[in-house]
Amino acid sequence: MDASVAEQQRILASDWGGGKSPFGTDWPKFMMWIFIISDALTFAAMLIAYGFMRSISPAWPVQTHVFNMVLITFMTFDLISSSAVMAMAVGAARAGDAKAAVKYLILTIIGGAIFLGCQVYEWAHFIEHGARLNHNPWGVPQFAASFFVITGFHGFHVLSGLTILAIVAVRAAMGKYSATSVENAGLYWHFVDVVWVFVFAFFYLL
Amino acid sequence: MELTKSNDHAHSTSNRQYFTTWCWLLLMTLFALGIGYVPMPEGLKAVLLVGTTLAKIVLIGSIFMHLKFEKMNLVMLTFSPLLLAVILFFMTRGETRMHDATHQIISHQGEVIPTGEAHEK
Repeated sequence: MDASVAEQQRILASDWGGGKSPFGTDWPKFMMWIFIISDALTFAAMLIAYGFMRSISPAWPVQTHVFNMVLITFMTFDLISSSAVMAMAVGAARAGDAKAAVKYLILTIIGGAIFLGCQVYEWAHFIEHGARLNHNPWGVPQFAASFFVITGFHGFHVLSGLTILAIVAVRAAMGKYSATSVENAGLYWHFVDVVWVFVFAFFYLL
Repeated sequence: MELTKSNDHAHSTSNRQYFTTWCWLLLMTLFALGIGYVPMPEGLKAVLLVGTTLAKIVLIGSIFMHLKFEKMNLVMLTFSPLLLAVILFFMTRGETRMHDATHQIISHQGEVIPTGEAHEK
């Protein structure tokens, strides 16, 4: 009897014993992580499909000759900077400094908007040169198709992130939001940055 | 709900640490850009770029996303897409038959492209 009681207490005290999160975090944050993981798998599938297409393709344009690498590098720098500022916003929110949190959120939104503007410019430049979803002047149809799909899907995530950040910033300014909510928005924004790190390396450089 | 102070002191990261991390990320970005331009074997380029990318995501994940303060089971869960992606990559790599001398690539005009020219840029 004592052994079974001890065993019961051991189970109740364990991570999965109930009454607490087994992952040591609250459910909104954990759900955001689950969403990030699922979205990461989507992007991973896209990038691997791109790698496969490129491997079986007889020729592939040299990216450094096709893209404006100064612009792309600036875009990467801009997104990393906005991610750093977002981390400061989360830190300010955790410290209870609403004013600083709103300030950093606005700066993050500006950084994201600059990135999106550069992306629009890049697309316009590409389309102007004759790139379409099913053909492009560089001879490999999959090149432009993969560019538009991958960067377009990422750009859509950036736009969604800007919308979320704007809502969080307005509500934080009104005193109606919690540090956890700012942190969850931050997690999404850092995820968008991580995806771009992969796209920058594997699509533009490799 | 007001913007209340969090009681979780274990998650405190200073702005100075964020700035230092930002500097490192910037340096790694410039390094990756350099790899893209310097002529080198494709395999070496791939290894260096993958290594740099992994280093960047570890920094972003641990410092910006506060994963270094989270429980190990959550950290391992977040890295599961990377593991699955690696598995998927190696599963599909064999289908490309990149180094198979008998693999023929046929152009749109129906001509066979010799294997030696098959993977030029």
